[in-house]
Amino acid sequence: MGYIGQRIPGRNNLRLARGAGQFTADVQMPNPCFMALVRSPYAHAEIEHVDVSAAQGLPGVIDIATAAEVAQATRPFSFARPPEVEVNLADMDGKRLREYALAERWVGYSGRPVAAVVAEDPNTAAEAAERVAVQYRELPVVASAEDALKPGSPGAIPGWNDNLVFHTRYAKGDAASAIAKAPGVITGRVQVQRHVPVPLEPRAFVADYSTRTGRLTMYASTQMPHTDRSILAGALGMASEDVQVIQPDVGGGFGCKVPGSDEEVLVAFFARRLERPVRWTEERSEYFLACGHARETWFDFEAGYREDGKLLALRIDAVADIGLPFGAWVQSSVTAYCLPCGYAVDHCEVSMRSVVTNKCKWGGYRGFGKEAASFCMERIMDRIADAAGLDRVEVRLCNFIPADAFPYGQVSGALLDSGNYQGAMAKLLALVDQEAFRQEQAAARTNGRCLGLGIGFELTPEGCSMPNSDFLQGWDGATVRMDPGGRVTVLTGVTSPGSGNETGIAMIVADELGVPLDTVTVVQGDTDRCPYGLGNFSSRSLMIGGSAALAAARELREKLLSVGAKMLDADPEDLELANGEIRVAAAPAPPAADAPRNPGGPAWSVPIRRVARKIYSHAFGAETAHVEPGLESTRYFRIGNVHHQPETEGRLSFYPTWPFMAVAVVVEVDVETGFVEVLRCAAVHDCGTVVNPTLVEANTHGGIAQGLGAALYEELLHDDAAQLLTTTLMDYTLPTAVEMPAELSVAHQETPTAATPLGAKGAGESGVAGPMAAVASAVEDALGVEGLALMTLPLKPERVWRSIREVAGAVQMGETA
Amino acid sequence: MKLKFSRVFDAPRVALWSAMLDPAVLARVIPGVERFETVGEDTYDATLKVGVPAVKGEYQGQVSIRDKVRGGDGPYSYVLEGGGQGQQGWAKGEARIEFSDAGPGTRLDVDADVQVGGRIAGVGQRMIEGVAKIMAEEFFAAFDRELKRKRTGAGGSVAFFLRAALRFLRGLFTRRSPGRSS
Repeated sequence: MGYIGQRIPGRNNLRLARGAGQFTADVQMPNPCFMALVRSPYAHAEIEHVDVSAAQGLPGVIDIATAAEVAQATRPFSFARPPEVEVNLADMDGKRLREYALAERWVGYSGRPVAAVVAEDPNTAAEAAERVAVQYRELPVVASAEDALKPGSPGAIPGWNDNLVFHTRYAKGDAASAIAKAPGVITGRVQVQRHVPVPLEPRAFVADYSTRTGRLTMYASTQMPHTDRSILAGALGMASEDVQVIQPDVGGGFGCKVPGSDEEVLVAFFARRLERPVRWTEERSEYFLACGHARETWFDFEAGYREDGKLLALRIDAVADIGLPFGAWVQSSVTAYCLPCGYAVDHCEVSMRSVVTNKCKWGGYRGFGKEAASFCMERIMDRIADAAGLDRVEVRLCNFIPADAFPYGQVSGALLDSGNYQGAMAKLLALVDQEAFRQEQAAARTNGRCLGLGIGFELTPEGCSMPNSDFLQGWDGATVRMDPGGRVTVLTGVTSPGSGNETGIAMIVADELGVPLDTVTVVQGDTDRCPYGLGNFSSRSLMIGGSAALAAARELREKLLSVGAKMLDADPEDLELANGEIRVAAAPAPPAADAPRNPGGPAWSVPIRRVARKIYSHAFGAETAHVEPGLESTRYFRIGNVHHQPETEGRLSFYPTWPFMAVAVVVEVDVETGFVEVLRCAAVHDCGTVVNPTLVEANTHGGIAQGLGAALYEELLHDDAAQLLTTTLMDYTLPTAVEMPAELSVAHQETPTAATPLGAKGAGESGVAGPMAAVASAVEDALGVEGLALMTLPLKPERVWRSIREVAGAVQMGETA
Repeated sequence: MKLKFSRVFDAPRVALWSAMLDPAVLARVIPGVERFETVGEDTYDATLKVGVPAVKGEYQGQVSIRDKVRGGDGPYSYVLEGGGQGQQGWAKGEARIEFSDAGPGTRLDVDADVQVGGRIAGVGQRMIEGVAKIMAEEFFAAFDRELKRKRTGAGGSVAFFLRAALRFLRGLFTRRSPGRSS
C-alpha cells in the first residue's frame, strides 16, 4: 500500500509547534541596518516638498532615500504589476499608471510610501522617519465606488477620464426577455465587505549585497521566489542570476505575499546602495494600510425563476472597489468569471465594473474573488427559496449543473472539468440530521433560544493560468535526485506558505520510487537550488508542483527498474518498487523470498539503495552501461484543461480544476443583542483525489475560520476622507479558537480531474465562501422572521440587531423569544 | 467626528470673550503650544507639541476665526477653523464656540467637527475623543488660571478691589471660604 490517501501529519508540524521555525525576521546577518518608511497620511494629495534635514541630523541614521533617487536607481513598477493588468490598461482609453517604490509627486492612498530611512536600529529609523517633513497639497478624495461612479466625480487618478478601470462582461442567452417572461422575479443587492488576509507573520524582508560576487541575496516572506527574483532583478536592472531569493518559513500568505511590493524593492535598493544587510519587518498597522485589501464588491441582481425553484434567467450588475489599480485587482474579474458558479442557468448576463478609489490597492486573498461570487449565488438561491416557498436545499438541487454534464462550459467560457454537486449535498445531508435539528430548534425556541441551520455551497476553481502573465501560470518544475545511498531529494518550484504541501509532494515521490517516506527530503523556496517555478498561489503547489515531481520521479523509477532488471535478471515489466526494494512481482512471501530464485541464480529482490549505488559506482558495468549515468531528473509539468488560444480552442479558459464544498452550520442568535455564535459546522469537500486527508482538512479548517471571520467579524472601514479606521487587531476582529465551532467536521467526496495525473485538484482556498453563505442562511433560519434578508456582510451584532427591528413583525418575535 | 465640550467660567461674558480672542492669552494657555503667531486679522500660525500617546508629536497648523456674533442679549459666538499636520498625521475641522450667561459666570459651549488622517485616524481613532477631552480639560484649566491671574493681577482696578472686599465680607457672614460660588 502506498502513502497516497493516508493520513500523515505535516512533516514540519512538530518543528513549528515547538517554536523551532525560522521566519524571515529570525534570519541573522552580521552588521544589519533597519529600514522605516514615511507614509502619506493623505488619501489623495500632491507632494509639494520633502524635507529630510531634521532626520539626517539624528545620530544613527545611515541613509535616507527620496522618490527622485529611487526613480533614478530603479525601474518603474509597471513591470512589477501583473502583466494582464498592463494588457487590460492598454485597452482602456489610454489609462495608465506607472509608479516607483516611493511616490514622486502624487499619492493615491493613505499609507503610500513617500520616503525611506535606514538607521542602525529600528527605533532610530522610526524616529527619523517621523522627522521627515513632507508638505502635501490635498486633492479631492474618492472614498467609495458609489462616489467614484457618480457623474462629475473627482478622479481618483488625475488624468483619467473616469474611475472605471475595467468592465468585465459575460452573457449567454437572452436574460432580459427570459426574466420578463418568468413566473417569478426577485431583485436585490448582495454586499461583501472590504477585507485583508491577516497572516500571523506580517511581511518581512532581509537583503544583503555581496561586493565580491555582485549578487543580491533576499530572504523574503514571499509566496513566489522565482517571480520575486525576476521583479527584483528587473527593478534594480540586474541579471536574474545575480539575485537569489530565499523563502524561509512563512507564517501564512493567503495571497497577500505575492511579490511586487514597494517595500521589498526598497530593501533591495538600500542593500545594494549601502553594501550592507538591510532589514524590514512590517508593523501590523502598516500591514492594514498598505499590504493590499480585497473583496469589497456589491452585486445588484435580478432573477427570474419557475414555481419549482428553477432559476430561468439571471442578471448581475456588480461593482468592485479595487482602490488603486495595482496588485491583484484582477480578482474582481475572476468573480465575474465564476458566476453563476455551480448552477446551470440558460439565460445569464454578468457585468462587473472594477472601479478605482483612493484606497489601498487590492492584494490577493484566499478565494481570489471566487468567494464573493459563491456568496452572491447562495444568497440568490435562498431568496428564490423564500419567494417560492420552497426548501433551501431543494432549490439548490434543482439548479445544480447535472453530474453527467461535465465538462461544463459556464457563462464566461470557463470550462468546469468535473463535479458531482448533488452527491456532495446528499452526503452533507446525511451528516446533518435536519429532522433532529428541527426538533432541537423547536425545543430551544420554547426556552427562548434562537437556533438556526444554514446551508452553503461553494465553487473554488484552482490552478489559475492567465495568458501573458509572469505571475499566474499553470506549469511548474521539479527536480528529483537520488544519492548513492538511496536517499531522495525533491527540489520544487512550488513553495509552502505553511500549508504542508511538502509532505504531500514527498508522499507522491515516495510512492513512485517505492522508498520510505522519511528518506525523501523536499527543498523549496530557494532560487539558487530549485528549478524555475511559479511558487504558491491558487492551490497549485500539490496539483501542479506535485505532478512535476511525479514526472521527474517517474523518470528515475524507469532507470532504477532498468538497472534493477539487469541485476535481478528479469524483465522490467515483471518488477515492482515497494518498501525500499525492487522485486519480482511474482515473488513468494518471505521467508521464501529471501532465498535465490534458483540455486546460484539471482535474488527475488534487490534494495533500491543498492541499485542506486550501482548506477553511481559501476557506470561502465554490464548492468548499468545501457543507461545514462546519474540519478537525477528535472521535469516541467503543464496542467490540462487550460485554453489560451480562443481562435482554435473556443473561449478563454484559465482555471483547470474546479473543487467544491457543501457546508452546513448551526448558529445561535441572541435576539436582544444581535450576537451570533456558531455552534456546529459540517462540510463535504471534493478536491478530486485526496493525497493526504489530514492536510486537506487542516487547510479547510483554516478556510472555514476565515469564512466565519468574513461572515461575522472582519471589515475594513474607511471614513469619508478614505482614511482607514481599522488598523489594529482591536478594530479588525478576527475569529480565534474561541469563536470556532465546538463541533467541526470535514468529510470528503472524490471526483477526480483529468487535468492532473493523480486526479487531484487544488484544495487550498476551500472553506471560505461556503461558511459565509451558510452563516447568513442560518441566522435567517434562527430568527424565523418572514421577509428578513441578510444580504450584507459581516453580520456583526449591530447589523443583525437592526435588521431584526427593521423587518415588520420582528419585534413581536423578539418578545415571544 | 463630532466633539462637544462645555464649561462654566467664573467671569463675565465680555471678559471671557476678550480673553478667548487674545493671542497673547492663547499662546499661554493652549496645551503644548510652542509658537503662536498672528499672521493676519484673526488668523494665526501655530506649532503644537502633543505628548499623549497615539497622537504624540509636533504639529504645524493655522487657525482662523470667523462669523463673530457679539452684542445684544443673545449668546455670543464665533467659529474657529483650522488644520494642521504633524508626525502622526493631520487634523482639520471647525468649532462653533458659544458664550452664554450662567449665573454670575459664563457658560462656554464648544461644538466641533473634526477630521483626522494618517496614524491619528488609524491607531488613534478609538482614543481620539479621550485625547481631545484631556486636551480640552488642560486648556480650560489653564484658561481658568489665566482668568484668575488677571483678576488678582498686580495693582488691580478699583472695581476689582471692591468686588474682592465684598466677597470677603460675604464670606465672613456665611462662614464659607470666599471666592468660588460653586
